[in-house]
Amino acid sequence: MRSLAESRVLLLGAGGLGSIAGLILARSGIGQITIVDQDRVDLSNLHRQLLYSEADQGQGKAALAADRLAREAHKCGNKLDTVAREIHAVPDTIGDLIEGHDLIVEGTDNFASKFMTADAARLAGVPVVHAGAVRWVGWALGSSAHRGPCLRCVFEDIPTEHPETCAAAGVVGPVVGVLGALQARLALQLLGDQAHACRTWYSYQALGYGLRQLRAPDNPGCPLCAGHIQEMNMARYVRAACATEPVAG
Amino acid sequence: MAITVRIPTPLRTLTEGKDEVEASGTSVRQVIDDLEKNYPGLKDRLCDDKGGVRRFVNIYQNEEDIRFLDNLETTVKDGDAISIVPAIAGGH
Repeated sequence: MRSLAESRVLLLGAGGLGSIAGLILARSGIGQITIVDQDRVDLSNLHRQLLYSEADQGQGKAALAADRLAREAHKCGNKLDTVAREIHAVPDTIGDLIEGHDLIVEGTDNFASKFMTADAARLAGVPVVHAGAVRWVGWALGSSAHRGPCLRCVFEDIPTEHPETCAAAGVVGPVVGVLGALQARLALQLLGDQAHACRTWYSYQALGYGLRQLRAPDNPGCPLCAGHIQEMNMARYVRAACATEPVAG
Repeated sequence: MAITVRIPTPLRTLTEGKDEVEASGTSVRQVIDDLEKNYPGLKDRLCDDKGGVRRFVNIYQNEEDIRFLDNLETTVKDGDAISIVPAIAGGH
């Protein structure tokens, strides 16, 4: 087990979830964070993307996040190396992006990217922490490197129907705050070899029951856990994503 | 038989804004059918044309995912809670 100062985290998405999770991890003493995000700062997202401000509009999030997270770590006396990758993770590139990292924090905003990350993480033997949020609801799930429940165990596959996305429905700041912080907690647990953190997943209803812990199933029909997914195939994600509504950043 | 059903925010337009409603039945399928009587349109949001649970919806009986029990035939009893947990992808 590496110390936190030796740990290398891949932050896929530096938006609402990634801002919060990144801030906490930077202040917790993580040694390296690579930020992958192709988007630019938009005024309409600032209520939830706490790393940025109005003056940052139009600038790339990855480089800004790298700078801000390093500064946050410094405030706590930590030394954080950051790497900014202003690219879009796709099946052909995600394996290279993951290489050299000890954990992935996935805060993308579409199912294709989430399932692609889950598959690539398991194939690379790297734990991943996922989360999703729309309006006042969300969820979070940690998945260990080699075994146990994964995203496909819980949600099976990219929906072919039309679930809501934050691009269409919006998401409120406190919801990504709660779930981003939960992602950071799960990340620290997984980096600390606390694999039991993956036995449950979390559903959050800000206007209802709050945060609920649910049993993460060992799904005998999961193609990823059964080893049926052995390579990153672009068609697997494109075909499924085309059956859903368009996704956006 | 009173079963508490927890309704996620996106479906509350069909339940007059209520985050919890009560329904009756001895199986999850019966509970959903009962919900449909009082809150028309809800079943269509949960089940597909073939009557199965839609892929982006997870239904829990108390803390257990019904897919790993008896799916829609999972037995429910007085005092149980059914939670509807939709898959969502935002947060960026």
